[in-house]
This record gives sequence, C-alpha cells and structure tokens, in this order.
Amino acid sequence: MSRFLLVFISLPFLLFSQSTGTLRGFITDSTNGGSVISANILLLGTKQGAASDLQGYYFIPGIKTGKQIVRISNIGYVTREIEVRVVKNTITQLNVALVPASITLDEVSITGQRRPDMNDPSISIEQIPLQQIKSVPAGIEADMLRALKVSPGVTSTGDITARYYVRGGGSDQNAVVINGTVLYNPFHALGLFSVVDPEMIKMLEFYKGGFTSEYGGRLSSILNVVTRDGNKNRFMGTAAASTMSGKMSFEGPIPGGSFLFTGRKSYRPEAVQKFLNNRSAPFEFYDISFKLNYSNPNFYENGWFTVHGFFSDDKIENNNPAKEDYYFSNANYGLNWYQVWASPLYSNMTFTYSTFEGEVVPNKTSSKPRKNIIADFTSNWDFTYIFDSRDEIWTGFHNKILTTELYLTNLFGSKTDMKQRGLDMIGYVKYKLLRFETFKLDGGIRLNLVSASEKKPFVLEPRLNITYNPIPILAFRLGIGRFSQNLTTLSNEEELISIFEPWVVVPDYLKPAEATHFIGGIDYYLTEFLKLSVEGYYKDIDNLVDINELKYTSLDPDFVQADGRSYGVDFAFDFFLQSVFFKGSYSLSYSYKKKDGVEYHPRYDTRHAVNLQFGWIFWDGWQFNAVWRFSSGLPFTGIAGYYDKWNIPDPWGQWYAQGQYDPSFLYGARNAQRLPSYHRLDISLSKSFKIFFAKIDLDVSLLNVYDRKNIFYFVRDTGERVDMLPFIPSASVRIEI
Amino acid sequence: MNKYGMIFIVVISLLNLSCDEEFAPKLPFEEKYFVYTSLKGDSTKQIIVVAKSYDVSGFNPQNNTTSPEIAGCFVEVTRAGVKYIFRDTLIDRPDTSRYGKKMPAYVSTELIPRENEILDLNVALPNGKVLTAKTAVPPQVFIEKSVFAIGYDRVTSLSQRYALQWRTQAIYLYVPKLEIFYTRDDMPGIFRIEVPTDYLTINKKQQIVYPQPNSNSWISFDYRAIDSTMAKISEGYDYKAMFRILRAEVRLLIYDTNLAKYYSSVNGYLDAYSVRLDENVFTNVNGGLGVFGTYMMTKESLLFDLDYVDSFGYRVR
Repeated sequence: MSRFLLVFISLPFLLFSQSTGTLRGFITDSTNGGSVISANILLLGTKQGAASDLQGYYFIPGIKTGKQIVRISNIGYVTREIEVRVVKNTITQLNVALVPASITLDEVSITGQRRPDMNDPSISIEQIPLQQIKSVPAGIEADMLRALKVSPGVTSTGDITARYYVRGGGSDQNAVVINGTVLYNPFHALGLFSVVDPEMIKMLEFYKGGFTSEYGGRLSSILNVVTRDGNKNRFMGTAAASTMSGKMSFEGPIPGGSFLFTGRKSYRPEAVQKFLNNRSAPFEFYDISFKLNYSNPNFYENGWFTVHGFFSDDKIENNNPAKEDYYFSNANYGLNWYQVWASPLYSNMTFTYSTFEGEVVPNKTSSKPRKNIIADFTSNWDFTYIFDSRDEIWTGFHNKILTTELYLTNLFGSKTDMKQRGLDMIGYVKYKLLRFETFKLDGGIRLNLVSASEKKPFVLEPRLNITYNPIPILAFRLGIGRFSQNLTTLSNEEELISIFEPWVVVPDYLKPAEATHFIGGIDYYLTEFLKLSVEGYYKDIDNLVDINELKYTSLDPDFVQADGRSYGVDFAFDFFLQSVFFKGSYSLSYSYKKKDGVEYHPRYDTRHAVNLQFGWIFWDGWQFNAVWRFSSGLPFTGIAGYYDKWNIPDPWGQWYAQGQYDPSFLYGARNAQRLPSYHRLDISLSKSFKIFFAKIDLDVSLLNVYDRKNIFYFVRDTGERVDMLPFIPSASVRIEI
Repeated sequence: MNKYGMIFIVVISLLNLSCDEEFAPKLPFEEKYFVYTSLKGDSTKQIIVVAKSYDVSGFNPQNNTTSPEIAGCFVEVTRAGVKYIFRDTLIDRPDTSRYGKKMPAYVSTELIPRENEILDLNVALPNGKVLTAKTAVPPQVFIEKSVFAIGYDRVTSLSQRYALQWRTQAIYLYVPKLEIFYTRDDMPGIFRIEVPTDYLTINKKQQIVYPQPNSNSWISFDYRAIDSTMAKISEGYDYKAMFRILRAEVRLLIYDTNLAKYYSSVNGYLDAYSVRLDENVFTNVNGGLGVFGTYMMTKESLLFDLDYVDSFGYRVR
C-alpha cells in the first residue's frame, strides 16, 4: 500500500520537465510583513499571471526567458511594476512588498486588474476581508458570523442567534475552520456571537457549496478563517472596549518571524439583555488566541512554520441551586509547515488538536444533566505540483482521530450515554486544468478510505468544477460534487434557541449523510467596478441524521434518518471603489426535509431574501456603513384547534383520569404557514484619528433603525407575539499603538 | 418639493415600515378525539374519559365554556377474551373554572389489571368513529434496602443517604413515596408524614424536594431530610416521648410503557434559556389522541433503628 502511495505521489514529479523559466515568490504588506492574499501578479505583454494564495505565495511557470516586466497589484495597495530576468530551466524568486494606498477619493487605481476570480475554476466561494466584516454595523461588536448573513444564500432564524444556514442546509452542515482546525462551538453567549475575535482575522474564505476535493466533512459550507500573522516590522498593540466586553491584542517581530496574541473578556452581560427579550443571563466568556510564525533559510530554506492556539470559555453560573449552570469551552492547538520545494512543488502540513466540552448542570431544577466532550486530532498533508503548462495537480491525505462522548437525559427523562471513537482516513487527488485562457477545470476525487462512522466506511466523493471565459469579463461556471458528513449535532430544529447542541459521530445504526450539489453560475463585469453574478443550485441530501423527536424512553433511538433537498438561485451585484462600495443580492430558495414519509419545509426555509450593503469612506477618516436585509416569512406550524390535555400533576391523586386538564393546542400541518416578512436597517458611523502615536477608532452603531417589529415566534397559549431586536444603539472604541 | 418635505416623506415611510404585520396563526378547525385513562392495578374502580377538540375565537382556550367530554360512547376493555363494558357516569371535575362541577366519564367496578396482562380498549363514539388502543400491565417489583433499618448507618454512611432500589426495565416510569407512620398519646389514630429526598437552602429560604416520577431504579433520601422529618413530628412539643414511631413505608407506582411515555411527553422540561416551538405528545390511541395506560403499585414496610429513633426522644414500642 505504502509503495503504491509513494508512486502515486511521485508520478507527476517524475513526468516533470522544464524548458522555460519560472517565477515564484511571496507578496507581503510593507507595513507589517503579513501575506497579501489574492494579489494579482501579471507579466506585462503576455496573458500569463497568477494570484497569490493564503500565504501570499504565487507561482508562474512556462515563462519565456529573458527580461520581463511584472506588475503586482491588489485592492488597497499601490501597484508596483518590477523588471525581472527569467532564466531557462530556473526558478526565479521574486518577493514583493506592497505599500498600502492611502484611501482617498482621488486614488482609485484598480484599472488594469486581471480579475483573478474570473479565471479560477472554483464556484460559490466568497472571500470576505476583515474590512468587510467591520463594515457590517455591529450588534454590540463586529462579528464574523453576523457578517455572513449579508451573503446571498445564507439565512438565519432570527436576530438572537449567530447560527446560520447555507442554501437550505442545516446549521450543523457548516464547518468553521480556523487555521486548519475545526471549531466545534463557534458561539459565545448562548449563540449570540462568534468566539473568533475579529482582531485576529485576516480574511474569511466562505465556500457555500461545490467545494473542491481538498475540502470535506460537511454537506453545506466551509468557513475558513485565515488569521493574521502579526506585524513583522514593529511591535504594536490594541485595546478595545464595547458595552459588553473588553479586548486587547499584542503583536510584533521575533527573530525569523512574528507573533500575534489576542484576548477578549466579557464584563457586562446586561448589554445583551435585549437580545434575550430582556431576560438576564449571567454569562461570562473569554477567548484567547496566539500565533507564532517562523521562517529562517538557515533552519529550513523556503519553509514557513506556524504554531497557533485558540481557547474560549463560556459559562452561565447562576449561584442558585434553583437554576441550571452552563459551561462550554474550546481548546485548539496547531502546527503548520508550509514548504516551497526546489521543484515547482509546495506542500502544507498541518497537525491540529481540537477539543470541545459542554455541560449543563441542572443543580436542583427539573432540567436534565447534559455533557458533551469532543477530542479531534487531525493531520493533513497537502501537496501541489505546478506544471509548465500552468496546470496543477493536488493531492493530500487527511487523517482524523475523533472521540465524542455524550451523556444526557432528554427532556422526557430518557438517558443517552454515547462514547465513540473513530478514525477518518481520507485521500484526495485533483487536477486543475489551467492551461487554456478561456477554459478552466478543477476535477478530482475525495476518498474516505476509513470512516469514523461504521455504517459506511468507504465513501467516494467525485468533484468537478468548470469555468468558461469566452471573454475576460464573463465567466460561466459549473460545479458538481458529492459530499459526506459523519458528524452530527443532537439538536432539535424546533428549538429556536438551543443552548446545548452536542456533536456526536453518526451512530452505528445509521448511515452517514451524503449530499450531491449541482451548481451553475455566471459572473459578469459590467464595468471595471461593477460585478454581476447569478448562481443556481440544487442540493440533494440522503440519510440526513435527524433527532428522534419521539424518543420517550432510553430504548428509543436518539436519531432517525431523513432526506432533504433544496434549490434556488442567488443574484448579486458588487460595486467597489476604494472609498465606496455597494453590494446587493436577491435569493430565491426552496428547501424541504422528508421524515417519516412526510415532506415539509424546515424552520430556516426562506423563500425570498434581499441584502443591500453600502459603505462610504469620506472626509478625513470618517466611514459610514448601512445594511438593509429583507427576507420573506419563515415557516411555522399553525393552530388547528384546542383540546384539554390531561396532565398528571399529582401521581398520588385519588383518581387518575380526573387529574388535571390544561388547555393545549392542536397542530396543523408541520411548518405549512409563514410568519410575516422580516426587514431591518442597520447603520454605523465610525471615525479614525490619531492622537500622538495612538490611532483611535470610534464606532457608533444603530441596529434596527426604524424599530421594525420583526416577529421571532408567537406564544401559542396566548397568541402573544415575541419580537426580535428592537432599535438598539451601541458604541465601541479601539486604540492602536 | 423642498428638503423638509423629503425628510417628512422619509420619516413617514420608515414609521410605516416599522409597523408589525398582522398574521393568522390559526388554521381551519379540525375535530379530533381523545381518550384518557390509567387503569389502576390496586383498585376495582376504573375510569375512562373521552373528549374532543374545540375552537375559540381569539387565542385564549380558557374562553371555551362548552365541556369537551363526550357522553354516550360505547367503551369496552378486553382482557384475555373477557370484555368489561364501562358505563356512562358523571364524576367530579377537578377544575370548575370553565365548565360545570361534573364531567362525563365511563366507569367499571369489575376490572383489576394484573401484572403482565394485555388489555385492549375499544371506544365507539356516537358519531360512529372508533378509537382503539392496547397496553400491557407492568410487573410488580421487589424493593431492596441499602441497610435493614433506617438510621442504622446514620453516622457511618459515606453518602449520608438512605437508599432503596428495585429490579427494573428502563421502559417503565417509577413514582416512589416514603412515609413515616406514628402515633401520639394525646390523640387517637395513626398519623403519617411524607419524607422528602432533600432539604435545600436557596436564597436563605428552605425548599423541600419530594420524589418525582423518573425512570431510575433507585431512590435515595438525604439523612438530613429524614432527620428534619423526624423532628417535624414533634415540632412545638417538649415532651417527645409522647410520640411513638411505628414504621416507615415506601410505596412505588410503576407506570406501564404507554403511560410512562405519555407522562414524559407532557412533563418535559428543557432549560431556562432554550425556546422550543412544538411538542410531541405521545399517544397510543388509534384513530385519535390521548393515552390508554395502566399502573401497578408496590409497597414495602421499613424498620427504624432503635437508637436512631431514641435520639429524637421518641418511643418505638
């Protein structure tokens, strides 16, 4: 087996031969030394070029030898042109530091950009830089998960939760990955906010479907959080405060690299009472992250090592035996080794250990004890080889040793004790056909050689993405793929706010869920600054693992199998200048779930959704942002009548059948009715200025400016409606030294 | 139009947008039928209630004043081929706030469920609809004690709890109750007092916790709760020797599977923060809703350690 794998990996390298020159290098930010992602590297006078990857690395093979002019550009940076001599059969290293452009109305200079996104054969991917996260008016604090909600195809069941649903998939079908590590509980404070402090984020890569072979493990989406490296040129720190929490960061150079440390702690839980319909929740949370980068040619030439860690902790301690206490914590550690080899090969090796522990301590309440523990050790080995023709071959092995423990008593008093340990061994290989200017292809297979789920250990997931550019400003895209997921949450979709959603490996008596995505889309640059996109999708899900809502005894299974499907179309436009942007989208979507032979719309099924986002940087550091969101009503189950429900309040009562009868309601068809539509306008105004050596950012946000009464749910017993967030002002201050 | 006119229009538009929209959460009314009963394993008198759904204008079901129970049904329970016909009757209604003092029901005085029997229910409504259900009577259980006499390990017990357990299958639900029986010289008769599992102090207030129905095959009582109950017997009296402790008795209700599932489904408690929309009330009634269940009762006398009783100043004999 090992001999076969060795030959398999080496095959493309054995076939390799060079007859031209090659250019490669790293694009960095001149102010802090951090990598510049998606920079456009173009050889003037040719159609050859490349875009820098997440490490800022680029590689351009098959270059005609001799003198060449290289133009390096990216939004927000001053474009540079550099003369370079390309030598036959030689890899020339060209590292470039880009200088950030000062942002004024007069310095808009993205003309001549090669639109790297148009040439990439990927589909349904959105890159969200930190500035875009911060441009969404803050619900107390800027938050990456709330920023996702303005993305077409992403829906939510309310303002109260940061939980999100992508193109008709359930919330547990989304992965949040930070530095290659899966974050199992990405929420702080009852799901109101993300645990990831924006201070540590460089960029989000959001795959909404059709993701290529190197990604897997989820049916709907992957949110890849790319963190900052820390300033390589000077020491600096920030301190920030909002009405809810305080935070700080510290970063700077170390010999051969840099470090970044961030920390955040809550100090005023009352700030979120309006998110909880004025209920108090004495929660406390903190999160801490660190990242160390090291690169030294004397130690390992063209190698780049990163050690990172992330820890978060949430608790609600009532100090009252008559109330429950809650504890949630994440701990992630990781080591990355990014290596550019002498041949046109680079590799990325990742070792991560991620744990999550959640517990509900009922004390002396009628609540039930619940505990969930996850331990995930992952090692990923990814290799990319680039041919002279610009084609690429990618291969990799992903291994995951996963332990999940779940101890709970459900609300009916039934106990569940599940302890599972599994091994995922995944191999993938894909070929990126990039040699043609007008036609690109990314095709591969992902093979689950051994799966943590026993029922279906061998899963084959073919993936194919195609892009056709008849002209440089127009791209037709197609994506088809098969996806599987053998981890699931034990959550009830009828719980609008669910504080405890434990993860477990799909139990042995069920098959892991599998999905097929069919996606087609068109991207069109109407002008250099205005991009129009349309994407249609169909997602078919088999063996969806769903909670058994009829589990009344410990002998009943915790999960049952269901099926799902969703389809829709997303229209989007994106107008972007350096000082102003205007984005908008409209999504039409249908999603269905089929369980026990009955098909219904899940709670998050949103028929129409409109997002409009406007940002304007004006006059001496002022910035204005506005977001307006509309979505048609979410499904709910109507009332078909009432009945007097027999309760048994006193089991020792004289006559059982006399007991106590309390009015209850009869349900109609499940989720067949719709709540009123939702819309909300949020605005923010921020100002950046300098006092001596400190840069100060002040931000004032107004949520739900016109105080729209958006219904969250209605109380069936009384017909009373419970609304989502009212008008809420908030403010924050950030100081950077 | 001047700029003030524009501002006025914008403000009015925003105020209009802020209004909540009306919506109708109610659907056309559906009439459904319910059967409720728990046949008692320790009695000959059995009661079955048959009812129907109703509608009200608005959302408050408390506005319904028409009794939902249905009279005139044919109700029959079959046990091992023997049919027991339940007759129409009126029983006292526990809550008279909406309806009259009496409620229609069906009664039999001949049927005593025996352990592990299968019982079949057949209800024919006056409109011709038929509801059926089946249930199995639960078994009796044998109760085992952690020590032979209450108080024997009062000082030595590591857990400081007195425990009882029984052989079980998880599909049943158990309702234990521990009582102390005693006499007093100044009054005739035998008195009883229930023992809680725990005495808690919450916000400087004492809260008493009594056993709740659950699927555990054991129950334990904090000795501090037993001490407090023992002390309560003579509360306010200096002459303790006038009280004589006879015995303790534990009684255990055993719900059958259907009744256990029904109880669990109507008494579920989530937590203080989660918001849940729907509930799934269990039913084993074909053609309708409700539950047809049975329960058995087991009881066991428990001894007291003489020194323990003596420590309160009480007599034993």
